This record gives sequence, C-alpha cells and structure tokens, in this order.
Amino acid sequence: MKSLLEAQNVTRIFDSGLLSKGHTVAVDGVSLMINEDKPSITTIAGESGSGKTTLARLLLGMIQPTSGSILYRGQSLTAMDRRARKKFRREVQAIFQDPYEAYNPIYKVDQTLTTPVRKFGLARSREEAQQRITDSLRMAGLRPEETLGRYPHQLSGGQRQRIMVARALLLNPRVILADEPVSMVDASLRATILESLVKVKRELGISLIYITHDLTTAYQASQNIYILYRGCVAEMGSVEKVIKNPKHPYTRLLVSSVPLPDPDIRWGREGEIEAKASAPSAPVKEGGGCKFSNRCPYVMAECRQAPPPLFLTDDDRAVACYLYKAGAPVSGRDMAKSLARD
Amino acid sequence: MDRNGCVLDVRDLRVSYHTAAGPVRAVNGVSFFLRPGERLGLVGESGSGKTTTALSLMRLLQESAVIEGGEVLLDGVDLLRLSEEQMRLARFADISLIPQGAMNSLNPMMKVGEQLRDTIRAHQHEGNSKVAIDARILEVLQSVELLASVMDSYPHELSGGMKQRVCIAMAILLNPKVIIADEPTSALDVVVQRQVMETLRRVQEALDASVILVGHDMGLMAQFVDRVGVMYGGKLAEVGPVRGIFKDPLHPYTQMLIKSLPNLDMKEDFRGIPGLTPSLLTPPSGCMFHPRCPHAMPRCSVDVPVLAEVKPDRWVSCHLYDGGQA
Amino acid sequence: MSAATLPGTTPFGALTTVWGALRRVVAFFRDNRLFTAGVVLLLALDLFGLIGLQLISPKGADMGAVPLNLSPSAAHPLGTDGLGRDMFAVMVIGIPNTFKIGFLAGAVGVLIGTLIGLFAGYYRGYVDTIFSSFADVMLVIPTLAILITVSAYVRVVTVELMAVIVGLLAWPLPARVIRSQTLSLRERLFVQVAKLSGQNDFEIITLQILPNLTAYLAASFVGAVSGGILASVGLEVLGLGPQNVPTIGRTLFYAFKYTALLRGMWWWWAPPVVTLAIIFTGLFQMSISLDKIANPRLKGSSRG
Repeated sequence: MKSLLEAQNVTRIFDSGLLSKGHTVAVDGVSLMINEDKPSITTIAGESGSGKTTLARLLLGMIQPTSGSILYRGQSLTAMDRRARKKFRREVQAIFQDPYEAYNPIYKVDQTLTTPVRKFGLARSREEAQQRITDSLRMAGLRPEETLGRYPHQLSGGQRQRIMVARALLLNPRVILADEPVSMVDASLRATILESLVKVKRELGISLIYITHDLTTAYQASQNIYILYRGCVAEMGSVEKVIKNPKHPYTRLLVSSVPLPDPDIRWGREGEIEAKASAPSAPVKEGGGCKFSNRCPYVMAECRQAPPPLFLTDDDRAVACYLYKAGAPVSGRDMAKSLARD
Repeated sequence: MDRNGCVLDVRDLRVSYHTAAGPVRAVNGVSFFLRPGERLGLVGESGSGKTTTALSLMRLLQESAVIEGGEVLLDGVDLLRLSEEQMRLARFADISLIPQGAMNSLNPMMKVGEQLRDTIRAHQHEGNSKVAIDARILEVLQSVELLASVMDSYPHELSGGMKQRVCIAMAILLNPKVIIADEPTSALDVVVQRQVMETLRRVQEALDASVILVGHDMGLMAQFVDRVGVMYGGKLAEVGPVRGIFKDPLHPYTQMLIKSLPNLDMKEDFRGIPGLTPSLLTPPSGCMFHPRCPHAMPRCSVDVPVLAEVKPDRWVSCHLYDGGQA
Repeated sequence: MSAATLPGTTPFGALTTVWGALRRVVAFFRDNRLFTAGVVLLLALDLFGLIGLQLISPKGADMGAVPLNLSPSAAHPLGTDGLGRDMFAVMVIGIPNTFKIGFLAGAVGVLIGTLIGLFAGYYRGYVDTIFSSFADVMLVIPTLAILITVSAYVRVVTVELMAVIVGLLAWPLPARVIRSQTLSLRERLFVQVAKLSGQNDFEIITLQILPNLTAYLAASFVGAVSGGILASVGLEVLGLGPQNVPTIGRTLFYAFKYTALLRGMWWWWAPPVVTLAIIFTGLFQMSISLDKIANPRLKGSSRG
C-alpha cells in the first residue's frame, strides 16, 4: 500500500490578534490517510467548529499546520520543490460548497475551465483543449452547448456546481476534496451530483474526500468516515459501523439528531443522550480532558483528566472514549493506515 | 375533510415579482387551509414559491412584489384587504413570523429584553405596566428554555441556537393563532436544530397555535409536521398528511422527490430528478412539471391541472388523477 | 449560438468582443444619466477650449498683446484684463491646461495608489504595515503645505511638472480604497479556485482582483482629478505654479492682485470662477453616480 495523501498528527492553531493571548485550536492531532492503490471515498464529518474546513485547507496545502505534517506521495508539502509542488497542485483538486462564490462574476464560466488547461499545459492546441473541456463537462452530466459561453449568473446553482466538478476532473487528479458539494444545491439535484462523484471514483479511479455534516449522504457515498469534534477525531472507521452502530457518545448524539425522512422514525429514539447532552456550559480548558466531557451523559472522572486516545473496538473502527478503554489503544496514524489499507 | 373550522384559509393566492426582464409568477394560484393546532409543512426547492407564499401571508413582501389576487382568511378576516395599520396590529398578535436567518435579524445594538418589550409595546392599546410586560416576557423565555439573564444580553453574546429561541419567543409573545417559521434552522447544526424544533413544537402545543413550517428539508418535515404541502413552480403539487406523502406519494414530483431522499438503506444508490427547475419567467405550458415528468401525457403540455381532493384529505394537481374531468 | 466554441477561437470572435464591449459602454452611459451629464459638461468645456484655440490667435493671451481693461465687446468677447491679455484667449488656453493638470495628476495619483494598494492588500504582513502607516501619515499632513514648500524650491514649473508633483501627493486615498477592496477580494472563493487552477500571484492580482475594482478605480480617478485641479488652482491663486502659461488659477491671482473686484472688472474674475464651478459640478455628478455603481445598495428600488 502506498500513501497518496496523508495527514500525520496535524494540529493547527489560530491566534486571535497580535497582542491577545487567546487562540483557537482548530485541528488537534488529526491523522488521515488516502491509499494510492485503492480508490476510495472517505468522509470527514463534523459540525461547525469541528475543524473539518481547516483540515480541508491543510490537506489542500492552502495553510500550513502548526505541528505535524501533510504528506503527498510520502513527501512533506513544506519540503517540496516547485516541480513537486506543481504536480501536487495538479493531482489534488477541490470542489467547494458555494456554487455562487466560486466564480469571478466578470468572466464567463469558460474561464474556470480554460485556465487550468492553460496553466498546466493539458492541451497542445485549441482543438485539443476544446475537446478536453467538453469531455469533462459531459462527465459531470452537463451539455457543453448549454453551459459554455455563459456568465455565472445565467446558470443555475446546480449547473454551476457541476461545472466545478468538471473543472476538478479536467486535471485528471488523483484526489478530489469535496467540501459540502451539495449543501447549497436543490434537493432534487443533490442525488444526481453525488452520483456523478461516486461514478468518478468508480470509473476514473479518483479518490474522494467528502466533507459534510450530512451523515446520511456520507453513509451512501463513502467507505470510511472520520467524525470530528472540536478539532479531534471522536470516532473513525468504516461507515457501516460508525453510522449504523455508533459508539462514541457524540456520534450517537449526531446520529440520533439527524432528521430522518420517515415519519415513523421520529426523534426521541435515544432518550438518554439528548436529554443530557444539551448545550455545553463552559468550553473545556486546554489539556483539561476529553473535549466532550462537559456535555457527555457518561462522563467519568478520568474523562476530565486527560483527552482519551483512540481505542480499537473493531478491526475497522476506533473510538476516542474511555468507555471503550477495554480495547487496544491505537495511534491516529496507525488507525488511518489500517483504514486506508482495507 | 372540509375547510370549516380552519384557522387559516388561503384561496387562490397570486403573487408576481416585477423584474427588468418581465413579470415573474412566483405564486400562481395557491390554495390551502390550516386547522387549529395543526403543523403544516410547505416544502419546495428554490423558485417553488414557498417563501413568497409565507411572506405574502404576513404582507411583508419587498416592493417589487405585487399580490395580484386571492384571499387569506384568518378566522374569517381577509388579511389582504386590511389597511396597513390593521395589518400592522395583526402581525405578531394574530399571525407571526420567524423569518429566514432570523438570528441575524435581531438588532445588534439593543439588548434582547428591550427588543422583546418593543414587540409587546407596539401592539398594546392600553399601556400595560412594565411589570406586566416583563412578567409575560419571562414566562415566554421560560417556555423556550432560556434563562432570564438573556434579557440583559446583546444578540452577539448568544449562540445561534439561543438567538433562534429568542426569535421563537418573540413570535409567541402575543399568543398568535398562526406561527410561520421560514427555514428557522437552516444555519444551525443538526444537534441544535433538533433542540430548536422540539422547543418550537412544545411551545406551539402549549399555545394551541398552528404552525406553517416553510423549508426544503424533507427530513425536518417528516419529523415535525402533521401535513405537508409540496410546492413546485409556484403552485401546490400535492397536499396531504405527512405519512401519506412519504409512504404513498401521488404526484410524480413528490414521488421522485421522496425517492431521491438519502436514506440509510441505499448504499451508492442515488436517484435524482433529471432536468432543471422551471423558469418562472418563461414557464412551460400546461403543467409546470411536464418537461421532467416520466408519466407526461399529451394533455399535460396543454391543460393546467387543478388541485383537487382525490382521496380523503389527499389533494393533488395532476392529470393522472382527474381522468376525464374538465 | 450553435456549437460551443471557446471565445476568440474564430476570427469573428475578436470582433464580436470589441463590438460587445462598445455596446456595453453605450448602455452604461444610457443607464447612468447623471454620470453622462457630468461627462458631457466637462467635455463641452474642454471642447470650448480646444475649438476656441482654432478660432483665435493664442498670442492674444500674451501680456500686453491688447489694450488694457476693456470691457467685453465684439472684438474682445470677454474683455481684456489689466495686463493687456484678451480674456477669451486666456480662457481658451487656460481651460484645457486645467484639465490637463487634473487628469495627469489624477492618473499619477491613481496609478501609484493602485499599485501600492494592490500590493499591500494582497501580501499583507510587513509590506502592508509599512505602506499603510506611510499612507495614513500622508493623509494627515496638509498637502497644500507640502506643495507650497516644494514650489518654493522648484523655480521654473511647467504644467506637466506641476501635475506630476500634485499627483505624487494624491496616492494615499486611492491606495487605501484599493487596499481595503483587495483585502476582501483576496478572500473570495473564486481566488482560491484560481489558485487551485494554477494561477500565480501576479495573475491573480491582475486577472482576478483588478478587474473587479474598475468601479473603485473610476471613482478614485474622479476624486483624484478633483483633488488635483483643486490643489493646482490653489497653488496658482497663491502665485505659485506655472508662470509662463495662462491658467485659471493664475488669472484669479492677477485678478486679486490688481483688485479687479473693486474696479468692477467682472469679466476678469467671473470667467475663471464660473469655469471652476462648472468643472466641479461635472466632477461631482460623476462621482456620485460612480458611488452608486460601486455600491449597488445605494441604487434604491428600480421602477420595474
């Protein structure tokens, strides 16, 4: 197994202001791995404040970690020369949440497609460029004659988002990071766009990192999932186990709060969890134990002492919770590697 | 099931926006009714007309929008025919709104308590004493599970969920009969969303008020409402009890919408609805959905279907169900 | 539109874009009446000067060229001043000069200011701190005081030189405006997308950020031109600035010096004053309408 894209125990701290003492730990010791030999879809799930957006930017090389490293093909991003950097830039692409903001309003949408072709030298002639562009538009489920030559405001949100998918595909990347790709798109189009992403993995062998707060689509689309809570990994493993049989109290809270579109399965199935895990009183101080301890209905003394390591509960799932300390403790990096391998 | 005894009766509501490119029929003949104590969901995608409908009930549309026809009967009184002043008094007292992005519509320069007092004071004919006003506010804050200390806070000092609960409090201060909630939880996390929705449900049941929940999240509808109205292209495609809509949808759009919903039993099985949402500027002829409908008949591109009760309490506007009728 | 083609791939493609741009310009003038009014006003004034130059001999503006202190007549439509200059000739030469100074000063100020603003706003950090502090300091110092000091040292001043000097002091305000816009634009999602598509910093600044600043550039330019004209006229009225060429401010300087007001020689001081009023009205109209374009929320509701 060869590591394609990897986060090794990355932490990212943001300082607020020049002189103030306050700082936010957006990402706290997270490890993740994507296997080069096996295309997969991995979900990074969490709510706002979980650090998933920061982790995405770290993986894309747009910001640097405060500690730990991001590796591409085994090489740290900070140690790359220009050529390696350019290769990384080409092979790791992204699709963002907002199909409106992703476009510069003064240009036609063609510009988002011709720019990467030009900058990465993907075509030797105009005809070849044209062909590549129309091919990737079709792959994304669009008709070139209906989309090219238009300004962003002349197209619908769904079309704009699909053009972004086409843009990501143009470069023939190895990894695509999709940051909430369908949350701002109409419900009827979500399934279509998600389907084209899954198709991309299946037919083109491109691995996807799907970042979302929607556990249901995460279940449908991906194989592995990392549940983030305030910068830490709360639970990670196969999507089948984590979502159908969640173990970490936070995961259980999340899963039980998802409004299922079935009037017969209403909220209130997990009475205990919701009743006690209401809004936190005060945030847990640094080094003051598990970050969920001030909301957790199962909190014990050791939870407040030190943050729990990941405990292996199944061979394809680990939980960062002292409730499962009977399992073997495993490092984030080892678990990430093991998940990527299977 | 008849309309008698309903608290809100909307009849043939028509609203258009006048844009530089021409008139846009955002709400094109919408009729529905709301029973006392009932929770109705108005669901649809962008451009379906659901938010315009909700705002029209409160007569809070922007200047470019014109209510071109119809009646909105609240306990028999047509809100559309009231004077500006009468409507102003009716808002929040008889029918109130939790607007989209409500958390951001709280005045950042005023303490929460002051804003709540303002709501009461704007509607009182006889001057109620400050003591009585504050007592009412505290009562309401308690019902939404907020501490009294919230009164002295500024909006930015509260979390998203707390701000949303302040907006719920504001909406129920004067015991309205109808509460309209326009995507009240769209900016909230799934855990907080659930807490806020459960608060809303508790509060509404205690008041015995009716709620119209406007949104696009079918999951929320399934969890919260009693009846669902599905909107498409400015019209109601289908209205019915929530179980019926989800388990036995009648309109082809509703059927495809339900099928496209993500659920935990369909791994890698995505079923979207092909095609694009209709342009309201140049709408399709006949039925708005016919270009995307798998059951479209020749008639569908000519005749506009009418919302009719095809089964008890099941209303559909589709030619598949009006066999032979004019 | 039949088969989709990339723009500019056909020979007609280039023409259509130029024609398209022209049509957009015409539409712009049609939609922004106030702006057009201002432009027309200024153009008319400038034309008056340029056409007038063809009609009369510029020699009339030399001192002692014509009899002194004559009130307006057929031979001298605007009379003559106390230095023996035909006022009509003076205005006809002076007005274009004033425009020249204003535009040159405005261009220099906006050019320098934009470069600094773009750089400081995009790269932030030390570069930004240094330039912003410098700009803030300069904004506080009264530029007229600096100009007077500089003019005292620079003996012979041409119109162009004065314009450049004024322009060199006009950059802080455009720099601040462009910097703050750049600061916010650089965070926009389409900039991140452009980075992912391989564009380097230079391309992002010139191709992504700069084109979105046209409204601010235009507004800053109008502001800088106004400021430039005001500063130069101010200097001239004080007796500084170009001495060999008739300018509006210099005319006023002479008018004050030779007490034209008390002597009732209105044709000496009135034309420059009226001209200045027209110029500033035109510039003001342009700047309000540019404000509305830059900030669409000021537009108000459109009447359908």
